[in-house]
Amino acid sequence: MSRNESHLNWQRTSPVAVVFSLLNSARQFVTSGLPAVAVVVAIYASGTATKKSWMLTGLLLFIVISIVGSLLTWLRFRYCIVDDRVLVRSGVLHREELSVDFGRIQNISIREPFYMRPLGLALLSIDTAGSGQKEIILGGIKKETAIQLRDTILAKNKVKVQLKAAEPGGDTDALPDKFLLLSRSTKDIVIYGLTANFLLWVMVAVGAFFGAQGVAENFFSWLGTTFQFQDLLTAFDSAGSLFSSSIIILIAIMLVVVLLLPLISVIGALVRHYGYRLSVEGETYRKNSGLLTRHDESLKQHKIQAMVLKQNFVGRFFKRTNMQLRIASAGSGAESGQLQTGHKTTFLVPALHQHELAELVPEFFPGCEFGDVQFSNINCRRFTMVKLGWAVLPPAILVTGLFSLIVSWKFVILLPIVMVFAWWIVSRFWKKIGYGVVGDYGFVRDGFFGTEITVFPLFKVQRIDIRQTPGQRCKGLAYLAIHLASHTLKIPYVPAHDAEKFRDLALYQVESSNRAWY
Amino acid sequence: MAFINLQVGLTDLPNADELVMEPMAEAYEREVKAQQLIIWVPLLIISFVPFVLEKFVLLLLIPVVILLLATIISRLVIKKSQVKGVALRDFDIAYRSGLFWRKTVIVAFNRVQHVEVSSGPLQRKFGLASVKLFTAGGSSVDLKIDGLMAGRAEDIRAFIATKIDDTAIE
Repeated sequence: MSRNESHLNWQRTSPVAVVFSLLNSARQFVTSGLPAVAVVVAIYASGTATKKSWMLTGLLLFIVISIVGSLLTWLRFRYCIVDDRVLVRSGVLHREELSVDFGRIQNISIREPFYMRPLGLALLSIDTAGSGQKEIILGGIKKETAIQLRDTILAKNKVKVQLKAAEPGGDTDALPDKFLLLSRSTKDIVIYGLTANFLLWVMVAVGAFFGAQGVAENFFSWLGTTFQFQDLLTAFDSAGSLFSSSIIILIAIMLVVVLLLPLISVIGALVRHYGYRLSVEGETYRKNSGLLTRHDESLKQHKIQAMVLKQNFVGRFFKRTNMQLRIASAGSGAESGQLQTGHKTTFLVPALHQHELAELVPEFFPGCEFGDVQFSNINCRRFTMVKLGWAVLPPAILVTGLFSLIVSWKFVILLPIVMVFAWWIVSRFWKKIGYGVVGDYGFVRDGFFGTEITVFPLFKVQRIDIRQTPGQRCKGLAYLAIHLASHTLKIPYVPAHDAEKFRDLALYQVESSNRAWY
Repeated sequence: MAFINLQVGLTDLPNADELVMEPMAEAYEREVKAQQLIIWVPLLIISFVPFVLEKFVLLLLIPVVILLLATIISRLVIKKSQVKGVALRDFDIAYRSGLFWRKTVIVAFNRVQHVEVSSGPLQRKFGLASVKLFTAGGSSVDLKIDGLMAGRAEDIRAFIATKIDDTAIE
């Protein structure tokens, strides 16, 4: 390395990178420590004057330190492109040098934050597989340079992959032109926002209900002082017990959450996906979106490990489906044993109409006849019996038993009602679980209110486990786990011979195919 | 070899369930027994301590219970080691385990990222080793095969390594 030192053209990013890293760390600070921030704000609001001045000084000091830190980091950050690798030198106290081969790059995206756009600058982030550091961010380089760099990297990557795959008669040069596949209007994105994080809303609502009650109360006491809420609360306090007032607080939180979250979700979706455009160039898909920051992400077709089609009941109302393309989770590369999941491993295609879905599925997965799939159901009796018998019956008996002993024997009536309701829920779950194979693709479906279908090329399966409990062995059933590089699919209570057939089929495809799975 | 689109009828597929599983090495059973002894004997000795200190006859029940537990559990563990089996095929390796909850894992060689052979002190005493296979996705170790003779483990590692190289070169 030191021999060619003089030949290397070490470059620095634009000073705007400092702004980026500051904003980034501020965002991280706020999102990861939101409850803490709320508490600090609450303390600040209720504190004395001296306390306030101390806190302000602390805040100022913190800001100054962050700015100096970001400046130093920027000063010490150099990057350099040699042949087919990116070299990065960074670190203030602890120097670090990183070298990433173009072939190892999983994902490359260009972003144009609003403060960089007038300057013609962009942000290039390079996602690697296997290396310790997952992401290199070149903040504030010329937009043209970024695009050029991306294209070189993608081109090199392609050559390498073609060498590895050695696919005979590959017709990759048949489609050289850039070709627009899909664009989304603002309305589509709003619908996506409504359908996207449904479970998340529920979870946050539940979280506000149970987990973060202390924080929420702090927050509300602060709100209360500002909005004369307190009088109301004390009125409730004197009227009823403490219990009733806290219930009212909880209901208020729930209401706010239920009303606010869809709004937040829609705003979030608009900021992230406004002006969504998906295009294809050769075998590279490129998507471009974003309101303030333009995101430009690209994905190679052969990197797609699985496709997840999600439609929850909001989506069913609008007749829209969200598609996620999953790639191998970062860190699952050759040498590393450790895995980091959930890091930028999905590529979103939002709010699709049925006909768009029918066009796009074969685009990403050639020869995938999505319409032909017939899902087989799992064993109903066993599934419902086990779920009801083990998960529902004991607590139901316990609770109704306690109530009927302590309060009144009439509570016994509740037990059959609870069981019927539970049976309805469980059988809904059962109906949704399904699996099937069409051609070279496997399909797995589940869900409760909505439907989630995972489509994957059989030859990309990494490993298949079949497990049987003594009871399942008796009934000829099995538990099938399909491990993909992106995630794992589990199907319970499959007829054992179906599980074996599925496994043998997938193994046959894996073992008879020379195509690279990554 | 070009990739052939699937035209094989489902009944003609090679069925992995008809595999003949090869049981683990004989030394493995001895190792498991030694392991059980190492766990239970000290426990049994400690369980006498309350009786020795208090001289109260009922306290002798503790070692009796421990002894009972030891026989039941170690029997099951030994039985479990006996049902384990491994089958090496041209393109994949199958491993069956579990006494009650039976599990069969099959890993195709062209999905293996790397292979590792390891052996602990007790395993070395009996000339045994384990083979670990890693694939992408899923948990960190995808398949761990215990109870192979060290030589055989090394053979399997070498066999799989050549298979990985084969598919990598193409």
